[in-house]
Amino acid sequence: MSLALELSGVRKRYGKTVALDGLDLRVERGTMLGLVGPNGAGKTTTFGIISGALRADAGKVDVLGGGTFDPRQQAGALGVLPQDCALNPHSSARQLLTFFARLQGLGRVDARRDADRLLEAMRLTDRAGARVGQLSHGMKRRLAVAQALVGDPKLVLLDEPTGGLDPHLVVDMRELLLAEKRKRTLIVSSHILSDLEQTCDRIAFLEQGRCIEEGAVESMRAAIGRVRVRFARPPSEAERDALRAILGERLESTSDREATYVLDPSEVIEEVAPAILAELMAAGLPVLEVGVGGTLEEAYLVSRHRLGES
Amino acid sequence: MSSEPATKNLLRDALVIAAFDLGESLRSRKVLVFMVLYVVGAIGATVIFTELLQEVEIALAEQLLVARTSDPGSLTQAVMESPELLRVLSGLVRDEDLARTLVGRPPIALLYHWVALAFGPIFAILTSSDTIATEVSTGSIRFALARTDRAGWLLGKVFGQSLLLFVGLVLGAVGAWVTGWIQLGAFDASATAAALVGYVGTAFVYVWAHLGLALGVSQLTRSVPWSRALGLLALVAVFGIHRFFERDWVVEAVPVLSGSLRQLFPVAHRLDLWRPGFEASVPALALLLALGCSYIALGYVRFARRDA
Repeated sequence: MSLALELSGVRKRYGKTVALDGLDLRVERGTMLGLVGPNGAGKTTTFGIISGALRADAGKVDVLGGGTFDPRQQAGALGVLPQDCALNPHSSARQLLTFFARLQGLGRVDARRDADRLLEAMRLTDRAGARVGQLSHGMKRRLAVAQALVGDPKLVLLDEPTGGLDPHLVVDMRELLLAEKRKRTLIVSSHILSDLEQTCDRIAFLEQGRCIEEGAVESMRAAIGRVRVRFARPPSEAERDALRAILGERLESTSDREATYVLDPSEVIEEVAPAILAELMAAGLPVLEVGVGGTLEEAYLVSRHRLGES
Repeated sequence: MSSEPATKNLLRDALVIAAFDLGESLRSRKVLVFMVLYVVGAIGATVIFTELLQEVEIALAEQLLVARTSDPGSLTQAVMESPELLRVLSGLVRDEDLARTLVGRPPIALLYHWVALAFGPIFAILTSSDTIATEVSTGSIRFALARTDRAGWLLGKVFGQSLLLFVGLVLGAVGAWVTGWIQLGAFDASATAAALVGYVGTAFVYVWAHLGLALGVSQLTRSVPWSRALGLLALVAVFGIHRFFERDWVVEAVPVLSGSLRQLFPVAHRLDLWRPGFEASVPALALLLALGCSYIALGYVRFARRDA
C-alpha cells in the first residue's frame, strides 16, 4: 500500500488550547478523503501542519513518503486551499495563477497555459484580467481552489472548498472534484456531509484533535443499521398501508420518495434487505432501488455518540 | 500537464517571488502614495534649493560688484567655492578635505544625496515594515509556503522590496535632474547625471540597511499595526542609540565599546558615503550591506520557527 500521507501521534497546542491531541491518519495514494468534524476539531490545523505552514509540537508527519513536507525536495507535489486566507489582492486572477504555477515549478509558457486552463475550468476566463480584490466572494473562492490545482500536484488539500459558494456553484465544484478524483490524492474538509458522501472514497471523523473513526464511505454508511427503499413514484395510500404492514414497527420514516427501515440488532442486513425487497415487489410497491445503511451524517452522529459514551 | 517542470531552486523561487512582489507593491495604493510622496519631496527640495541658490547668487553678485543674474546656476561655481560655504560644510562634515571635494561636485547631485540619506530610511520603513506581517496576518503566505520554503520566500521578498527601493531612488534622481535642468540656466547635465548615478548607488546601500531593519522587524509579529509601530520604533532606536554612543561623556567613559557599538548602526557609516572614489566608500558600503543582512537574519531566526 503506497501512502500519500501518514500522520502519527501529531500534537499541536496554541497556548493552553490543544488543537491536535495525538492525531493518527493514513491516506492511500489516489484516494479522496473527507475530513469531518466540528469547528475546533483540528481540521485546519491538520492542513497547516501537512503543508508546513504550522509546526507540529510532536509526532510524525510523512508527506508522499518524503517525511515532513519540504517544498524544495518535493517541488510541485502539494497544492493547498487554506481556510480563510486572503489571496494577494492587487494582481489579476491570471497573474496570480501564473505566479503560483511558476512557484510550482512550471516554466513561463506552461504556467500561463495552466493558469488559463484552470480559469476556464472555474468559469473565470471572462474575469481573468480583473484584480483579485475586485472579484466577488464566490469568484475568489473558485480562484483559490484553482490555485490549489495549478501545476498538477500529487496531493491536494482543500479546506472548505464550497464555503460561501452559491448552490449552483457548489454543484460545479462537486463535479470538478469528481473530475479531479483519481488524478491525484485529495483531502477535503467540509461541513456539508452530503457533498463528501457523493465525492469521497473515505472519510475521517475528527473530534478534539483526534481521529475517532476512519473508513470507506460505503462501509461507514452500511454500518448504520438501516434499509432504504427508494420509490419510482409516490406510493398510493393503499401501497403505503402495505408498506406499513410489511415493515411494521421498524419503519422509521416514509415520504413520497423514500422509506427507511431500522434494523433490529439481531437482524443481519444482508438477509433482511433482499427479503424486504421481495415482499415490497410482491405487494406491488413502485420500488426503484433498495439500499442498505444510513447517510454519512447519521454515521457521523453515531460516531460522536459512541465517543460521548466512552 | 505533460510539460516537465522547470529547474526549481532557491534563487529561481526568490526571483519569481521578487517580480510578483514588486508588481503587487507598485499596484497597491499605499506603496504608490509613499513613492509619489518621496519623489515629490525630492523634486520639491530641488526646487527650493535652486530658488535659494538664486538668492545667494544675487547676493554674491552684489558683493562681487558684477551684474545681477536672473539665471540661477550661472554663478554656482563661485558660490560653491566661496569660503563661507566651505566653512559651513567643513563644520557639517567635520572634515575640511572632504568639504573641499564636495564643493566641487554638482550641487543638485549633492542635494539629492542629502535628501536620499535623510529621508530614504523613513521611506524604507514606511513601505516595508509590514511586508511580511501583512502576508502572515491575511494568510496569503500559506499559498506560497506550499510551493517554496521560508528562506526562498523571504529572499524573494527582500529582492522585491529592494527593487522597489531602487525604483524609488532612481525616480527621485531623475526628478532631481529634470528639475535642475529646468530651473538652473547653467546646468552641467552630464556631470550632474554622472554624480547622480554614483549617489543613487551609495544611497541605495545606505537605505537598504534600513530596509533590512524593516524586513527584520516585519518577521517578528503577525500584527500589521504592531509591525508598523515596531518598524518606526526600530528606526528611532537605531538613530537614538547611535546618538547616545556619540555623546562625549560616553565616548570618554568607554571609548572602545562606544566606538565598536556605533558600527552596528547604519547612520555611523553615513559620512563615509560622501567620500569621493569607490575605494573610500567601499568599507562603509560593505558594512551597511552586512548590517542589513544581519537585521534580516535576526528576524528570520524567529520567522523560521514560528507558525505562519
